[in-house]
Amino acid sequence: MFGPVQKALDQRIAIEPARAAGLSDLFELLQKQGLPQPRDEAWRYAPIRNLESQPLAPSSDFSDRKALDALALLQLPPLLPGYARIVIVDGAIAASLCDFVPTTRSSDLPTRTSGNADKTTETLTHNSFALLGRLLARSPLRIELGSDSPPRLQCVFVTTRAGLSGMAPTQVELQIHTSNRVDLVEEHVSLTGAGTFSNHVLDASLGANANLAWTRVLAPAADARHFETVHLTLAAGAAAHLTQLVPGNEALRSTLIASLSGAESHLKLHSVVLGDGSQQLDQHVLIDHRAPGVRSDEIYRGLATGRARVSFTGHNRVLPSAPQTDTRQSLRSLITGDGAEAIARPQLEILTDAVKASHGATVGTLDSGMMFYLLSRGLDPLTAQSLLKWAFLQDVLSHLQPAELRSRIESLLLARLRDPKLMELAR
Amino acid sequence: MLSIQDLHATVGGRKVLDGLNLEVKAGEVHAIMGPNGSGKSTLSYVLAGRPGYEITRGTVRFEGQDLLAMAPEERARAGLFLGFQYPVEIPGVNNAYLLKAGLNAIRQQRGETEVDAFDFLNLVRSRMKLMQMDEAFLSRGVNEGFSGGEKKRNEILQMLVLEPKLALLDETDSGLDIDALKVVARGIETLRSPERAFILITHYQRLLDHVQPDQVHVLARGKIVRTGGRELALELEQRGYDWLTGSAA
Repeated sequence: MFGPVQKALDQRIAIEPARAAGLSDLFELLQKQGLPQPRDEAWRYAPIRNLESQPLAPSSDFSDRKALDALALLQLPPLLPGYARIVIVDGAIAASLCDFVPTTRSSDLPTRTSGNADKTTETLTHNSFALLGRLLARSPLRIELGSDSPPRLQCVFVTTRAGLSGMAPTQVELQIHTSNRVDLVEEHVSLTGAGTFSNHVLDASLGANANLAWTRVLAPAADARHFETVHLTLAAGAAAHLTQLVPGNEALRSTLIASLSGAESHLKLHSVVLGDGSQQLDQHVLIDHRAPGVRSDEIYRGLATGRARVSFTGHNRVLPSAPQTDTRQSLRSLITGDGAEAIARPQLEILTDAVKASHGATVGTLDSGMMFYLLSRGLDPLTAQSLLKWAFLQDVLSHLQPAELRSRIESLLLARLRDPKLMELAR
Repeated sequence: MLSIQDLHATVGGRKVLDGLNLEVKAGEVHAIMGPNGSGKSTLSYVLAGRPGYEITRGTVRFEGQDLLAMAPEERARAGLFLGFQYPVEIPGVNNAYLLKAGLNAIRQQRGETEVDAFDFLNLVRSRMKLMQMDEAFLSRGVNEGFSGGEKKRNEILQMLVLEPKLALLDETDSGLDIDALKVVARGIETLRSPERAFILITHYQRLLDHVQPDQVHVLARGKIVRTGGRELALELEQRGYDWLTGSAA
């Protein structure tokens, strides 16, 4: 199964012989682990069936970067006003498309057991896809954002490679310096019709008192598969507001491991997912509260229409080192298709005293009380249903900034919802 | 305008309305009072067409039409308005949108053109002023984060904008302080006209100090057990319901 991976790895080691030992170590771990199986609880709802038969390593490298960048240009979302843009095409910086070329250098390879990670964190952080990404990403990037960097950044990842030519890996390390404040919009797009298969690995860390407003738009083409592993670490007093938007594509697995490692750090996570057709969209979020006085707020809204399966696991862990933690979680899924499936799994694990924790999860159809209220005001049932679907997503969308992005995302969601009534209302 | 004959209804297999008769003419205001569990809210839901209520016998005619054969939205467009006892919150759907969509649905039914944005805003502003409501409410989600009193005012605001032929107000006065009660009563009086009728479902006669009813009915065990004028409400205030609920047996 990992033969092609071995081959690609050999090519990489030939280019970077100094890293041979580290890469071999990770490859050994990958072989030992194998690919995750649906019987693994953390991967139960992930779209991972029949992956063994898929090419997991890029079959060849592209040499014509200019042609590739030109292709990517066609997929680029509009530049957000006031933002500097970075464009990464198939894992490599497309300098000609960038307003801001970040400092780039080889990312450090993670060690097998990093810092104080326990088995749960370790297993998720070093899942097989993360290992594949770290092993095979051709141009690992490190983006450091300090006081001399643009405060607003639009980072676009474009995948052009067809899935048949192998999973396309991207590896990024993002560092926000101490006390720096950054607005980051991260967008993932892909070549329509190519059936792309992207594998994104991102390690983000916020220095003490840094502040990150981070909007992630995972909107590759509808026929694309996107897997990713995001590791976010917050130092003391740091705050991150992460908004994750998934308008729906063929298959998605997003693994987020957030470590609130510094005292008084704060993570706000808002996530919206829309699944349609036979899409399978799975998010797994582990928030580790590791220091005193940390806070987390997690809001998830998932809408499953058609025969889609939309799942979210929100595992909030409060470790013994984190007294006075305040954690809140609200997971809601809405099913509006006869064959649709929605899963919302809250998991709260508290290993210390003096903790404030609340969580709630609901999975259901449209609220009959709200429906009747709208009908009693004369609205027809189709309009009422459409409005309620839209209202459900607005819990998260209404907070989206900047306005240009919100407008674009709303249009995208409307298009993906394919609800003529909603389109009419939006006009 | 409204003619209810021998209405029987069950909810979850339990009999709630048991042979109710009521005639309401245009221009009249009727008050329906009664103890808890007597079927007052059920009556309002049955008339508005809420799912989950089974009509086992009887007829309801509204302006000559078979009301029970109509869908909830058809009843609203025909001119029936229900002011909810517990208005739901609908975050994400703003008040202005709901009001405009409802108004246009009703206008379309009447064969009128859609109201334009300017006229709509003028209409809503004037009605909000009457209800002493801040215009900021328009851009908020329907009833989202509203206090109990604000929700009730919002119900009356909707009624004032939609201008129904028959308004059925289910305990709109409950939970209101005296000033809010006056504002709500003013809203009702503003709309009162010879072409329009009201059914006020209430526990207390204090609303009737501000809105004079033509008839007061007592509902007990699913049927009207006594009908009178405003003096009946005053008597109920003094004596309670026991002397009447006994007579319903």
